[in-house]
Amino acid sequence: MRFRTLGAGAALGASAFAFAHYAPALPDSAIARPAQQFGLPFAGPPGPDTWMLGQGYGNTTGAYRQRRRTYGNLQGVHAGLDFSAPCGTPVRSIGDGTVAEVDGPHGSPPHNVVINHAGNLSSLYGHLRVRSSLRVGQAVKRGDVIGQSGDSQETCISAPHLHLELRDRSHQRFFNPLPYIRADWDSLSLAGSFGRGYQYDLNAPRRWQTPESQPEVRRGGALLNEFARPWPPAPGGGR
Amino acid sequence: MRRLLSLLAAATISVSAAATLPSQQVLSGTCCPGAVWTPDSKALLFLDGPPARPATGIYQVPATGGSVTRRFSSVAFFSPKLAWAVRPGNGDATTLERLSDGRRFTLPTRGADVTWTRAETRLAYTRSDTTGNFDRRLSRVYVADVFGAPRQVATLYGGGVSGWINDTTLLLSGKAQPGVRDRELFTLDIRNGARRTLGQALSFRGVSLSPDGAWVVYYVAFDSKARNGLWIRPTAGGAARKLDAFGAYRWRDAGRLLLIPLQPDGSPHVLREYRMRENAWRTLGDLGDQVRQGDWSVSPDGQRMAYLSARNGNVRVLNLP
Repeated sequence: MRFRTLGAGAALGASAFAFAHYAPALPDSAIARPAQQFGLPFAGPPGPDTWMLGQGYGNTTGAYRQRRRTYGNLQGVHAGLDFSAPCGTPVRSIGDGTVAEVDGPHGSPPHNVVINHAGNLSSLYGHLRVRSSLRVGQAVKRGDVIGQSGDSQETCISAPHLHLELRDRSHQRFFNPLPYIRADWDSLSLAGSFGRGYQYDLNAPRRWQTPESQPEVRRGGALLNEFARPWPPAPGGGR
Repeated sequence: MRRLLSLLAAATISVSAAATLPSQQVLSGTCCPGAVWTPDSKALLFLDGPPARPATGIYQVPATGGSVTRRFSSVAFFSPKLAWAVRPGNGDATTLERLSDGRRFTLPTRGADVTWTRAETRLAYTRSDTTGNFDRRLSRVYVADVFGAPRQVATLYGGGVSGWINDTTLLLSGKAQPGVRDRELFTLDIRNGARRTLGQALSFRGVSLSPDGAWVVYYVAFDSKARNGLWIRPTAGGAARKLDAFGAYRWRDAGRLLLIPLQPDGSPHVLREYRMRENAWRTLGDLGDQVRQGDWSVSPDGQRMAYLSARNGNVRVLNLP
């Protein structure tokens, strides 16, 4: 019986994978509008003992420098939020939903979780320290612990952080999470940032210079920030 | 215990009941992140261009508001005294131009900005590897006199230059070996290589020297309860003070540090001031607003503060009490 259940779960996972990664992008009409319907992925107040906002979503200078290699499939943009936190910090679901994937093919190693929410939205939790104990198909509530934060460099001292993305359920569109998540973002941006702001296009220097104006990303689309006149310049033109 | 609670209550009231500091919007149209003060504290410089303005450049607005004028026709990293324009290229070479006469020289900074001494006659920069674990990347620190050749003065892992304490002493942080856990915060005399270790921690974040170089403020996060928090310490050596507050901070002058507490409850941002001599805080007031993107700065004379308003994305200026 147990094997059958596992088999069914695996089949569900496989079909979900097939749907999610080869389906066309969902249209705007099928996707919930941002209404601060989600919460933060950590409990308790931010600070040097707990967690802090590290890098914002969008056309950050850090993403620009890696726009081809690291973010080439995401139009050169940092398509999520980075929250710095010590390894092992409990990570919580940002909303009610169903576990769609555990360690699916989404990068953000070493481990990740995807949760499907109402309105054809999915949240991805990346760089988790260990494989989540959740099962595909399991229901979760907002605030439920879904894993432990880890380190993208896998040392727990190099770059410990959680990478959080908000996607359409087909995993083709990546949204700015800020208007979807209820939080005091201006206060959270005061301390803890390891970014250096947004990359300028000197031909249109006000474009994409605020957190709320960052562009949506389409998987596999052309680079959005292949600027003719970038500022600041990246060594070697960026990777 | 009751007395302690009363004191805590009084402290809370003094923060929450702070008067709103009057401020003036000096730019409009959602303009502009990253504004910096001119050396005389009379104006702000910011990057702008089409479609809002006819050409891209560095523009200037008086601190009291008024007409916007174009100050520089090209974009660069400008030195604090506006004596130099630093223009990194796409490769190794960075061109440094003395604005008074247009005389130039180049340094192989590989895209890095440079850190100037107060006199702006000498500089330092860090060249780091671009791959590998962030905290193990090899960094080489160089110094150069203007129009001179660079000289390597230090090799670090996961670190670099934090500033000049004086004309001959650098403040740096990093690891001596790539495999060790902790970084060191240390001073380096570039004349003889003498080092003085000020502290050790997993990482030193937000390192900022006081205007006279006598003090350094920084914070430690995600290390240990004993180490985590906001610290201030003398660069000549001596005991560090752990400050009983946390948030965004800027030096007002050599003796005063301003801080906006990290308190994400949607309330207006509060401005507090730490006085070194008294080892005490006072609340200056609240902004009646929030700072967007952590974008705020104090004028070099310590009399004013500029910030990017969360209300509408425009720069506002206030006189500091």
